[in-house]
Amino acid sequence: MISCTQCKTPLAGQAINTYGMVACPSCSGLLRADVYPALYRQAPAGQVGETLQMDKEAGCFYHSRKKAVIPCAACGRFLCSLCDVEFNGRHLCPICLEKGKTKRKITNLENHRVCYDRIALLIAIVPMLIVYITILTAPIVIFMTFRYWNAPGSIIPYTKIRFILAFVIAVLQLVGWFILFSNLVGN
Amino acid sequence: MHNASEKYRRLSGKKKNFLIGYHTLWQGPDHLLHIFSKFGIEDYKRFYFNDIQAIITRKTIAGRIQNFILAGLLGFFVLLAFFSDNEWLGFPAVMIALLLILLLINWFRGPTCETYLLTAIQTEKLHSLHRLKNTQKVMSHVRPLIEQTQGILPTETVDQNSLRFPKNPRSLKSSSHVRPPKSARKHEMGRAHMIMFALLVLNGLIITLGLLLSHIALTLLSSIVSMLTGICVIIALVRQHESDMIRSIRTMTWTTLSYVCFLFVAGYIISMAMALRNPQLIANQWELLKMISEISPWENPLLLGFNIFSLCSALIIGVLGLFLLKKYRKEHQKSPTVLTTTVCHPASARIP
Repeated sequence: MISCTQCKTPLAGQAINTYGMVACPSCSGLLRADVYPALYRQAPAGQVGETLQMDKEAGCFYHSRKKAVIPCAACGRFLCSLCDVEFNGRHLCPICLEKGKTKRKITNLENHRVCYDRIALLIAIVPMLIVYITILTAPIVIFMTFRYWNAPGSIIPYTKIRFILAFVIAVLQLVGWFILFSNLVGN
Repeated sequence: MHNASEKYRRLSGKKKNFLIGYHTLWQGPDHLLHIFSKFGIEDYKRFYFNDIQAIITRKTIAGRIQNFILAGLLGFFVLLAFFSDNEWLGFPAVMIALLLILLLINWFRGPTCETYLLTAIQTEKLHSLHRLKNTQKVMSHVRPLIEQTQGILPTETVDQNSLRFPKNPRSLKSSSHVRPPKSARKHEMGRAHMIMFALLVLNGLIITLGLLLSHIALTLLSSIVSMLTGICVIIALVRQHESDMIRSIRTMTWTTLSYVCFLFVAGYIISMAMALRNPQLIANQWELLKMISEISPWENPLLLGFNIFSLCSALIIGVLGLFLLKKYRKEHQKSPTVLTTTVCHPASARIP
């Protein structure tokens, strides 16, 4: 059921897939609703797994009484239709799916990433507002650059430019502090 | 890793949060990727083309309100520039230029909108699609990709299903409401809010006192109270997030944040102007502070205007906030909300 996002009034067929703005019949707000066949598609029924009838039939690794229908594409274990998870065209068992998520082997399962290059650049730039802190933050930035140079960055296209910039800024900050201290000692 | 990331293509539109983070939308080979980035940490949400049921966008008046506020502020500073002395013309001139640029940018970006993406189990707001121009472009771009996966929806299917609508559409008002019910959200008593509003009232009183006598102690006290208010605003904003706090108090908190930001910016500009006029004082913060505190607001119309605006804002926001908070607490005492822990998933009830 497609409804107005403001007043929740269901939209009539004339207001759907017009590819332009149309007024909501209730609140008169201008809307565009693009609807796709998935809205009217029936949800597929869940699989329960077929029970083993004969001893010669292969059983599921996780449910020994259920009939195996497919092997896991990653570990090769036999799976019943209950354990079979189809993901990106591959049939995986729940354990391999979980491992793929935790070990970051399946990118499409990741919902969170730490981009150390951005953090390093932030730590390099923001403390410059209060100059004195840079004596502490510059070594941190240099450490981060070396430590996380090969760490996976963002999922979207990225380069190492932020790491390089952060490193250069941190080195310049340290050079500045070195010159200042050497001048003080010299005087 | 680069190979995995190269499959994504950026779609137009970007929404920056008021304080931290920004939202973007990317097109993958078989899905849309919504990213919320904050301080180098990215949160992802994927919407597979095969699962997308609908994308709905609605024009909002937020852009028009922003234009109205900017134009109002612009008018205020034009008037201020008109009535102020030549020596104090710098501040209004800078503000006029700044506001004019902001107004033009906002105007050129066009009307605002809200966009929602529907799947079988969720209704997600696509924050990055908040300008109508960009949204129309993205929707037209994404449509063929989704239709390639799902096929084209025949017009008859839409018409047939629209006939099944109930006679009273208002009865379905909450059917697609996905936000957690108020009872499931955490309860917030508003202690940080109370301190914040009390500090605002205190700041208002200090500014009033500053109109009667000029002393460095008052300037120092006002600065400390403003800083504490700033800290309290951040705590209050964090506390009220995803809580059952009423909308009016939330709005007051955001207004307080705007007020505190204005105070900080104005204070920074004033101190910079003083430092530029007296370069010998740049290295001596104490002397600079003393000089600022010695200026009587009655001698300068600009400073007087600023002080009056600050004290009115502080007192109005503070008193109104305290009043609303008192009312909210009273109402909560009468009808305490259900604890979050009592809300359980229906599926969990089936587990033996």
